[in-house]
Amino acid sequence: MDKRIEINRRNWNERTPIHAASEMYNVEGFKAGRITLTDIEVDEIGPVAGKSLLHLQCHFGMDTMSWARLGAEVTGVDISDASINLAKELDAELGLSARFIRSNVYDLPKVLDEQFDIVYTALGALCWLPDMTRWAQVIARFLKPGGTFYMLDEHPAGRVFTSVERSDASHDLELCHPYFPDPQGFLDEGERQSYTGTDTIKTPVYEWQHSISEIINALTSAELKIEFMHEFPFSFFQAQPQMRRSADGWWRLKRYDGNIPFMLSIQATKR
Amino acid sequence: MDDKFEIIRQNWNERTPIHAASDFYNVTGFKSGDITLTKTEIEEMGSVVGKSLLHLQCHFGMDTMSWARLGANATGVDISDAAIALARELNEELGLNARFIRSNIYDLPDVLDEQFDIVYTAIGALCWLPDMEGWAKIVARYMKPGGTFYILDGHPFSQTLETVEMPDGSLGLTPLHSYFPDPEGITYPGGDHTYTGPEVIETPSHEWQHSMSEIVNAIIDAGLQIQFLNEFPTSGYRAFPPMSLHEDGWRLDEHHGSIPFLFSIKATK
Repeated sequence: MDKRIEINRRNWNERTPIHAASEMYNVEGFKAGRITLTDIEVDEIGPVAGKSLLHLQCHFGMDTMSWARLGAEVTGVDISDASINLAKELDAELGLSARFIRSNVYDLPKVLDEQFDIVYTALGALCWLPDMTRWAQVIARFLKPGGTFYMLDEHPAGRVFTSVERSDASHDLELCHPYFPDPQGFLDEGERQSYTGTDTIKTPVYEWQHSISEIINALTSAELKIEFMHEFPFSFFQAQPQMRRSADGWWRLKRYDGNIPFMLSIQATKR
Repeated sequence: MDDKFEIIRQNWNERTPIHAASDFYNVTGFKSGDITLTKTEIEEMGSVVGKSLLHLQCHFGMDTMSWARLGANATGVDISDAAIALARELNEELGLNARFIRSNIYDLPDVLDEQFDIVYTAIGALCWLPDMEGWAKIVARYMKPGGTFYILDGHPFSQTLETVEMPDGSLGLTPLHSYFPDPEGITYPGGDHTYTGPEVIETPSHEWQHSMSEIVNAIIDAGLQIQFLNEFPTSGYRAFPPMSLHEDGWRLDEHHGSIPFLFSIKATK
């Protein structure tokens, strides 16, 4: 077992109760029937009624169970014990018939032997994985022939800038991070807030940058056929301090709006 | 649209003799046997021996004729009369059996009715085209079933950046231009120097930005299957001041991060 993946498991165990209590995740709203998926995902995947769906890196399962509410037979997988326990609790309370499995994505073939109509990955997932080639092989392994893979995640080009404050308090963006992947990843440590902006977390975490070409080539090498790739000029989180949330819920730059792709979706099929 | 193509045609007619006389293009070296293709193109394309190859937007044909030198039966197409006339002259002088056709690529079906083993596009081409969907249909139209399309061109993300002075006085790269395509494109009034040296081109020009997703989806929607997409952190020229020349080309200095300057795609029909 890669020790960096074990570090990430502990990090997500620590994050889970903090996220579950946050306004951002709004668990009460979910319990009351909210669909947590974005319009982009719902439109691009299309009807899921009666289809089997495997959600990789599902955290505590609100997106997974939202697909169940839309009619799919769903299975969610996550590395975090705390996340999967909470997902199972919510599922039992709400009677949604979702299934949840605690596993690292790469080790999933050891504990699950099935194939699905849809394999799905949602926002904020790929940065926790060191290896795109093996990731895509796992996806292909769990897809039925003719099945569909769909992902919506951060765009790698949205990660290369840092915000620089000018003396008049306006912000500039400066290129300072690598676009290209580094297999070593980088270690984030020390006390800091999770993206929900609430309580501090202390466990370190490893992240990896993945370029578009790395993601596309991993999928084509796993014999998946790319159906489309879409890029979006807005983000699902405040990626830079000068971003503001629009009425539609997405975060946008004011100056430089449209100059950076912040999100990426890809659909691919298995022959 | 036709007026924009006409501007581009005149612009490239004006550029051709300037480019042909430049060190950048080094026509003398080509006449003495140089292969003008990049290592990346040769490696990613694989063997072309005995294959028919259509080069879209070939300028005055040195890359087209380089493929001929590597064994392909090459046809080059360009919008510029001056470029095609020069390409034919060079081909005759060197006895390379390449064929050259003057045409806007969108109008090519009016003058050429064949299919090829390989359709190929080289660096600095897509920015002169308004419409990726129409372009990809042309690419697919000219490929034999089982044929290959290959392109190496400038990466759309590198087009967004400009060098600006940062608050601490250092030079930084900022995303000043749109990443996403605008069907209108941008008209440049003329009076700028061309990329080969100080000579000024008086004719205006018109360029279009194309995002990676626009290019990829156009290729897929034309019925082609993407084999690979590669991105490269190097540029063939010093695109920004904080770059240094390395063995494989110009790279950003490390503390500026990295961006892709070039991309390649291979697709099959």
